[in-house]
Amino acid sequence: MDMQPERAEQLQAIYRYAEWPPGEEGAAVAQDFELPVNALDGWVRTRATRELARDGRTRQRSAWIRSPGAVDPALMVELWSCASADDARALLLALLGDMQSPVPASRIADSAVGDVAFALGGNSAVLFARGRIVVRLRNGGRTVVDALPAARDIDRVIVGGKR
Amino acid sequence: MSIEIESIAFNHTVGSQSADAMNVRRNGSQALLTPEWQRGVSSTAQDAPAVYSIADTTGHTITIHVTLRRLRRDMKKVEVRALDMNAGGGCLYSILVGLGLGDWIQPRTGGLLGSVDARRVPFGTNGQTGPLPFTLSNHRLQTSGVDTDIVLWRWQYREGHGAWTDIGVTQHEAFSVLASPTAPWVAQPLASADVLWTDLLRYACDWARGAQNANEAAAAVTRAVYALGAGTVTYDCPGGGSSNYSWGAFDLSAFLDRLNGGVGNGVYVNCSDCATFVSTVANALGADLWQSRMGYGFALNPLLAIGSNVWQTACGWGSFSYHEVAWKGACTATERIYDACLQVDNDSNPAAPPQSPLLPQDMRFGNAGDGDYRDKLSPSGNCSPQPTTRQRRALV
Repeated sequence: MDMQPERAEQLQAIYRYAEWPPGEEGAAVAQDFELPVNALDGWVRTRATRELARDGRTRQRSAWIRSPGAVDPALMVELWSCASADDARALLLALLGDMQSPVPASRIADSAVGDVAFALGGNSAVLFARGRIVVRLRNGGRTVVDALPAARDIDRVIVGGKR
Repeated sequence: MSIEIESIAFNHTVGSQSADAMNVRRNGSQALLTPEWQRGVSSTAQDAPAVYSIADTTGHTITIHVTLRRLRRDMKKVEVRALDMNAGGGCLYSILVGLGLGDWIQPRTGGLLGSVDARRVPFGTNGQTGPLPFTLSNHRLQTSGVDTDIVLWRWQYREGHGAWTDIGVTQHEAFSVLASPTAPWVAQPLASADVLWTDLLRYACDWARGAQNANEAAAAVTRAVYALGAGTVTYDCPGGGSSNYSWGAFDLSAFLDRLNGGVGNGVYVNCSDCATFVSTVANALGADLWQSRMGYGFALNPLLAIGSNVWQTACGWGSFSYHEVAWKGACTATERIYDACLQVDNDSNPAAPPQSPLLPQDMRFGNAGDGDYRDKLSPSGNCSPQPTTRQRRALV
């Protein structure tokens, strides 16, 4: 989604965009990277789609539940493959600006997940960029769970460490 | 039985919708074949849907194309017709009347598509007719407004002036919409994934049943979407009010999954999601709405967010960084909005109790001090229309 210039400046100031570390292009996986069905420990994938968005980014969306038939709790995962690390950072900023809440998401400590990452209180939603990849995890059920462990699982898959 | 119905086509003239049904598909992944009803293939009413534009069909004779097959070679001078099984109150009403209970319920009106006029049918040497035009009569398309109905037709034939003999019953899911859909929907080509989805119209025409114009339809859809807050969706406090169905494009497939009891994209929605639900559904019925934002950064009066029964500023945040609604025209302060995400306090002091809940429907946005939507939503800050954000999200 194109952002108005003044809105983009506002968000860059709120999230100290200029201080974000540069992403390593090489750390990102290929454009056809696909999140595996067993990527999240303790979760079962129940719904998955993949689309080439009009902005040229590839988006994978998936819904994860604890067991088949149980829709609560649920984790919603969106993973974008972007054209470059800079493009990924621009998308991450836009996703942060998509929140209606006036309370900014908090920066997650360096090296915990991704190149740059943010979370809402209680880690009810986590957003991070790793190279050319952007990931947004959020709760989809009324029972709210900590999304950070799942974010770490996905990050490990992206960098090819664990699986 | 000496005659069989081979097929019934409602959308028999692709590219026109004044005398026949509109181009539709089932959903994003399933196209709809024509003829819509086929012997041995169609078993439920949903298998054979038909969608009509009220604006386009008004003043025109509506026809269907029916292909028949004779089972006796000596049949000549055959007439065929179909009776509306919902006429005269319908089957259930007839049974209750027979049981002496007719005073307890209202007889239903005839079926949305009425009946099929009798006509002579010529059989070819192969024993079949080609697709023959049959005229619909006593239909309710010009009076019903937005509607959906299960049409039951009792097909009959007779030879010469003999008695009518039953062929069988076909059932069809019929919809009436106000006019050709507006973006993101398209009327054609038939192969487009953006022609109307009957899986959505099943909800849309039920939500807006009886609406006679676009304003009524949009208002009804707004009320229906907000009412989903009773169990299907709720405002996204855990995610900071993020777009969960409408980021970049409208994930209508996920929304339908959620409406059907699936997980969809989860229970949480924000204002962009609600604005997209309302405008996309209303536009499917012939309205002409946009999604557009206001902002950036403004205080809130207490409100009732979708899925909540507590008057408070959204999630207790005190303000919104932005807000988005379904909006008419150029999406400026003088245009009118529909907001299915929240109810505002409609009394003279929206900042304090007591509250008088109002779901904004066809409400002027207004300037600060006008007493319109803007004042009821926000007491201070930059709650200005941002018409450059005006859009109609594409469907995925």
